[in-house]
Amino acid sequence: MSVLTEISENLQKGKAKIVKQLVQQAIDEGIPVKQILDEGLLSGMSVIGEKFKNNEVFVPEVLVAACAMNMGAALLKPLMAQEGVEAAGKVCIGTVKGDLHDIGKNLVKMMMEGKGLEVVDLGTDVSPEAYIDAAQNQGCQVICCSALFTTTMGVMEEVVKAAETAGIRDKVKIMVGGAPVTQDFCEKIGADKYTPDAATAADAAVELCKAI
Amino acid sequence: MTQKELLFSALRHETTPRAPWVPFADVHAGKLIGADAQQVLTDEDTLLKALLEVNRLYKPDGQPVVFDLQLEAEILGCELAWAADGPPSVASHPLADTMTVPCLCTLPKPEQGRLPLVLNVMRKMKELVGETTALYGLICGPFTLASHLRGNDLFMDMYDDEDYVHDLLNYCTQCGKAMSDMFLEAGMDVIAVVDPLVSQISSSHFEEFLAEPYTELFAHIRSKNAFNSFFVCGDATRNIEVMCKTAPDSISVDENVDILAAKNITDLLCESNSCGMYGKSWMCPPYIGEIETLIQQAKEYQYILVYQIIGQLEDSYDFEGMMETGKAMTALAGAVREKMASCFGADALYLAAGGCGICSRCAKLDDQPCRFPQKALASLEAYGIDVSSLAAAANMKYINGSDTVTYFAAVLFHEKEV
Ligand code: B12
Repeated sequence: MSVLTEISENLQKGKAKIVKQLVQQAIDEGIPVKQILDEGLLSGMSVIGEKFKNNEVFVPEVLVAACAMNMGAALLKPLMAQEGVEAAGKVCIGTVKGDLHDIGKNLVKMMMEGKGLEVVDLGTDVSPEAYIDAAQNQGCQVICCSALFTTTMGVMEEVVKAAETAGIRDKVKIMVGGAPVTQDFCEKIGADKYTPDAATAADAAVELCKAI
Repeated sequence: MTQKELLFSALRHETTPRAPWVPFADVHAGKLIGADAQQVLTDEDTLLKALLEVNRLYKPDGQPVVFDLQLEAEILGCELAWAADGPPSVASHPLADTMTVPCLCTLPKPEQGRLPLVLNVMRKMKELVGETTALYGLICGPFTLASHLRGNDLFMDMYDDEDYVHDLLNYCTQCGKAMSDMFLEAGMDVIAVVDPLVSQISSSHFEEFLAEPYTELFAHIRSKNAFNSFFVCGDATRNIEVMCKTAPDSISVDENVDILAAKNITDLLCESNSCGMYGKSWMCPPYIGEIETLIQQAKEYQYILVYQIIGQLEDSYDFEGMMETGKAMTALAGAVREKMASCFGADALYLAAGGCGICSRCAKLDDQPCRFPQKALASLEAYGIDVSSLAAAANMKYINGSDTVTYFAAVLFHEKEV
């Protein structure tokens, strides 16, 4: 079995330590960094993402896999910078004000990091101002809002308005998600992008960063 | 039968004339009187007023008193973030950086946190509406409480340090018992153990970590002569079976659960002892035999004679009337077996409704052989027969008008001699 397949399979089992060793081995074998990331770490993570979507694995399984992915990715990061592979972009993410459901938000964050994005984690109970501040002062190109309550979804609209008021609406993209959020809702409040799960959220964020 | 008794009857898994109604008004109760979530959950008079309004407006058979999963966590050192539109959230996890289990001496006591307020409202509700309305005390389930204390790292711990997770869950289970005791003392009839996180793990993780804590918790509540319910939020369809195996009196789910799939499971699960007869009679599981074998036996017969009894009730709460009809069914089934035996042949199978009922106390309870093997009756359900489908197949009605109750029985036989 190639070391890349081994990375993918151990990642799916959440074996973080082994994944780390294998990534180091792959680096030592001279496999290009981008290939280790894509064919080892990300391919394993997309299997898990798919199984999660189909209700075959659940939150603990995804979290350990994502953790293994991030440990492997940490080894690759400095090398990517050396090789001139640039970060795919910079985003900030948080669960909106009044809401502390963060399991989904954390999964999205980990997937985004896996895809090479730099992610500023604003935590939970995040006010509209805090998102805007991150965009203005930390250079985040995409604002990602997560909400799990029908009563806190409305805060996302406030974020869109706050971006307009701050005069940065044309400079940032706003993504929304969480169980009660829908495509309709995204359009209604004038946000830029909704996706239903973490894997597609990460892909979409990469696309949005490219477009800016 | 009072409204409250109707709910109790359902919790004992008896047939009830209608489904009991437990409107789940928590902070929404405040909305009815113009109070926000924080006011309802922190001010005694506001909470009581809101709950009484719910009671007046909805005339519930059962009613929860407070639904705040953060009540215990607050006492155990979690900081809360308050909101106007929903219950507070846990904003900090005291065990996030220390993998320790708190001492049992830290378990909540009646004078701590918001418990004085909650317990007072429980007592007052008991006094004011407790005669007719069953009251639910809601406690935070062990898994969710553990995540409040430890944060999301708990999920990782399930892989890296199983023993720690077991120990922490045990602490949270003891906390659940302490909370139940306080709520029961304040007059609650049903303890609902609410654990939203159960929908986020696999059945094998449930069995590994939660089967024992839950079995212990429900047994504890039952030992105090109270009812219990296992509340879960989110799509827990796959976990309904393992949840049932912890033997709660009932399960409460939300719209995410596939209710038909769940019903198929709960219908089969005699082990959960929902009717209270499991292990109490020769003619009920497990002594009656393996369900697969029984189904096979029933399938070997060529013919079935289905008959029913319709009882008239005074109103939909007429519990005595229902019991009377049940007894009449047992008597009729006995007579069919005694007087018509020649019609069906020696190897016919006589099945009735809701267990045997020939003796008031089954000899099995005293470790004696069956006193009347020639009369003993098992139920249709014990042989895996879905009575409502059977009724439809036999062109008979399962429901025969309001204020009636219908019981079914059957004879399975080979030669068609009738
Ligand atoms: C787990 C859970 C909890 C946990 C949260 C733990 C934590 N640290 O997050 C605990 C037990 C603490 C909890 C508490 C409460 N909860 Co809760 N909870 C849930 C539950 C069961 C699952 C949520 C979850 O984590 N799912 C798993 C994750 C992985 O999925 P996800 O969050 O949807 O994320 C995925 C996608 O949506 C997407 N995504 C997420 N964010 C983003 C962001 C972007 C930008 C994008 C593109 C995509 C994206 O990607 C993720 C991965 O694929 C839901 C039920 C449900 N149907 O959702 C209720 C639910 C959300 N809770 C509810 C309630 C009522 C509460 C409480 C108020 C209960 C109480 N009375 O105390 C409290 C208060 C909490 C608060 N104030 O914030 C209600 C909300 C009802 C409503 N009308 O809004 C729900 C819907 C349950 C119900 N049916 O009643 N809860």
